[in-house]
Amino acid sequence: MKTQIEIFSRRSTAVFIRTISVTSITFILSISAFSQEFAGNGMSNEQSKENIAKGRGVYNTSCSYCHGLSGKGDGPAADFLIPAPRDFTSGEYKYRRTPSGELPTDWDLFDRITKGVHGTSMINWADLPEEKRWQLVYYIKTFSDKFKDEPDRSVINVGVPPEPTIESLSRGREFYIDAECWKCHGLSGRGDGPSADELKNNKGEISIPRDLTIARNYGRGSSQRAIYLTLLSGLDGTPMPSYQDAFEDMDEELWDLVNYIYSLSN
Amino acid sequence: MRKAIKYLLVSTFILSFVEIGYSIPQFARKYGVTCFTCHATVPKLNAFGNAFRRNGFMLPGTSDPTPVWQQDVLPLSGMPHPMYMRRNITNNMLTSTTNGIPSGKTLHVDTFNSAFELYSGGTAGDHLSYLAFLTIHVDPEIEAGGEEGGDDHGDSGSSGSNVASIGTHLGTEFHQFFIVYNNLFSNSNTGKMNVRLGFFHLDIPFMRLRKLTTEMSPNLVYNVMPVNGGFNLDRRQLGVSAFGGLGSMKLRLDYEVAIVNGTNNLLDTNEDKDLFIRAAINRNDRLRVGMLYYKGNQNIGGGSNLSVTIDSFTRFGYDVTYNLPRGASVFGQWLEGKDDDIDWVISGDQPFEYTGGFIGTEFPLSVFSPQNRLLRKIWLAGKYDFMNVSKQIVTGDMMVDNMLATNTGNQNEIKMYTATLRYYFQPNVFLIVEKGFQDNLIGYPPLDDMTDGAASGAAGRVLDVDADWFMLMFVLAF
Ligand code: HEC
Ligand code: HEC
Repeated sequence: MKTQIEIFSRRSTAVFIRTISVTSITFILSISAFSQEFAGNGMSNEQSKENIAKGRGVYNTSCSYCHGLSGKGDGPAADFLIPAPRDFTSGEYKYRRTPSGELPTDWDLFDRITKGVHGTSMINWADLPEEKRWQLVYYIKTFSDKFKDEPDRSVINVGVPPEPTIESLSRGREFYIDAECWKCHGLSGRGDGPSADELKNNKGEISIPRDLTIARNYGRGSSQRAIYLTLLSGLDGTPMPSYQDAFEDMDEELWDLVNYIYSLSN
Repeated sequence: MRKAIKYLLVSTFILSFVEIGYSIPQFARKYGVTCFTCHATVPKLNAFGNAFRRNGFMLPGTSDPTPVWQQDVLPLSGMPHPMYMRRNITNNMLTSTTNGIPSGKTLHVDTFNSAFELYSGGTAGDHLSYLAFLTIHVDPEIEAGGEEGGDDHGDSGSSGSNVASIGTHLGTEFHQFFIVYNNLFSNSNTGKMNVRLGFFHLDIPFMRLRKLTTEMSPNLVYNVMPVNGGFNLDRRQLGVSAFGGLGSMKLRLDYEVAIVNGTNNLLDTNEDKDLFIRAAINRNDRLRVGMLYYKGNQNIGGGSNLSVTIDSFTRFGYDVTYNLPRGASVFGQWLEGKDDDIDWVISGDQPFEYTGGFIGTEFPLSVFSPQNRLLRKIWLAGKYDFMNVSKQIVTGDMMVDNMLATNTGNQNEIKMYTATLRYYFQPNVFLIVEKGFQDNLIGYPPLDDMTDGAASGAAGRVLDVDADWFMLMFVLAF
């Protein structure tokens, strides 16, 4: 099964990475992407012409109301949605484990379809059989040429979240101020910072910073790992930047910030 | 009255600061999503909401056999909506109306009313869904009176003499309660054919519960009642129906075929059952063109002999809706109604025929500036209803006096203009302000039901009685 192979390859690289990161105290590592090619191995979840065609059928009955028949995010139910449904032709995705600017992995897409985006109108589609969710992944990739040659993707390693001690939280609070998170998310994290009202995404649409004090409002989920990933990968296409460069070689500090954000809603 | 307004304003003020969060009512909570997933704006459904409904309150393309009581979300939503309304009714006829408005006078009615709806819906097992919709009505205060205007007819305006304060009403009522067997002949999970049984609203093109104007502005052509019977096309019916959507989003046929008892109540008046047929073609869920047909029978004389049918009637109509980008829509309905005998008191057949319809639009102010956040919170709705009654009661009963006594001769046209503004503090918390005017009523407004624009005491002919209203309603759905 595709999933198992991918998880396996992730795990082995993760072990490999933890060894390095312990010695070199770097927090992010590029991992060469696992192979996306499963053509011809006879598995039901492979990225085959047949599965793409099946994905299209599922897409048209379940997703087209919002994402549009042509994948542009312009379905009839999309008129009034903030954030708008993803335009799959752009190839730009918010919830990735890959660095900012890179394409998501197949697993990222599968995971998002399965979990949905909390607090938006992107529902979790766990009620669809797993097989159909994979078919959807392969089909929505075909909307963008960027996926055509399956360029390599690197995956951010998250590691194990440290205990949120009092010291860690207060250091995190300082980073929250210094890194100017408050400008958008507000001093108390309620999404009411001074620039909150003017934010636009890269399509010129209203973009609303998340209220970080309500756990169920986190699009990706409010766990420490999810927050860590958001900060490193950024939410591409929105004003929420990637802090990968800002926290280069500062993994511990980043975890302090993550712990602080985590404490706002938990 | 002032108390009522104060209460309304204070609660509005308080609630606009309450953090409601994203996910409300029951379905939104279950999936952790916003109301806009299914609603263009509450209560208007968008294309996805309709697909969700067609598939028995399950995501299109999926099935979820877990009954609601085994899910970890409380299967219950509530919607209190206190309101204040002022309605003025002017009698332009030469004689008093039978409910006591003297000729040439205007009756003012101030109403403060508080209704609370409870609803519950979802899956009840494999292929099974249900919806229950209960209304609890409290009308603590109705002040009617204060006639004015007119000089030469009727007794001189002793203010409030004819109509006294009406007092407190309390009632509960199941608006809808039905069970659906979903996806009868296929496992497509797209609602190609479902069967429902119980108390439900027929799938007419413009449902009362989904429009942005209020109950004071009923879609008139759905609400023409015979003199002694009671029938509204857009109210609950008891019966069974097959409904669904065939095809894909690109091109889909939505339909319903229903057999119902033909009254809007639990009890039928006769043995004959009524038939309802609805078919509509949807193109990309943007353009919808449809027809409806209703064939009914009723024993409007009441009584115990259920084998008697006095009135046989039909309603036949066409409708069109166009959903423009940015949330706006325009729509229209044309309808023809025929009753072969609407009054059992008068001997001989008293046929009744009308044609008419309505056109309207609903849109957020942000159509003019899509990225303006304030404008997205303001929705406007406008509707113009028109009706021409070509055959109506001309003899017998109390109608005769009124007809002979009208100021302006024979009346057969009705027109109604409605303008509604809705301000959404949150998707589920909003204020409605509505102003409307109706030129000529059909039948008398019953004094104990002033907050329902469709209610009429005795119908059967068009009266030279005009009405206008102003209403303020606050709604919270949770
Ligand atoms: C009711 C509307 C709606 C439906 C139906 C819907 N989506 Fe979405 N989808 C959205 C919205 C809105 C977003 C954007 C969420 C955000 O930006 O946070 C989104 C985002 C996504 C994303 C991108 C997440 C990211 O990382 O950027 C994927 C992938 C996706 N949807 C897949 C699907 C699939 C597959 C289906 C059908 C099974 C589907 N969606 C059905 C509304 C919908
Ligand atoms: C320029 C404005 C801006 C700044 C600065 C900013 N954010 Fe954000 N942030 C956003 C916006 C906008 C979103 C929501 C994007 C979306 O989902 O459409 C967001 C979303 C998030 C989320 C939610 C992710 C999820 O799963 O929903 C987290 C956590 C977050 N930001 C943390 C931070 C932290 C920590 C900082 C500072 C290091 C920060 N942000 C700085 C604008 C900003």
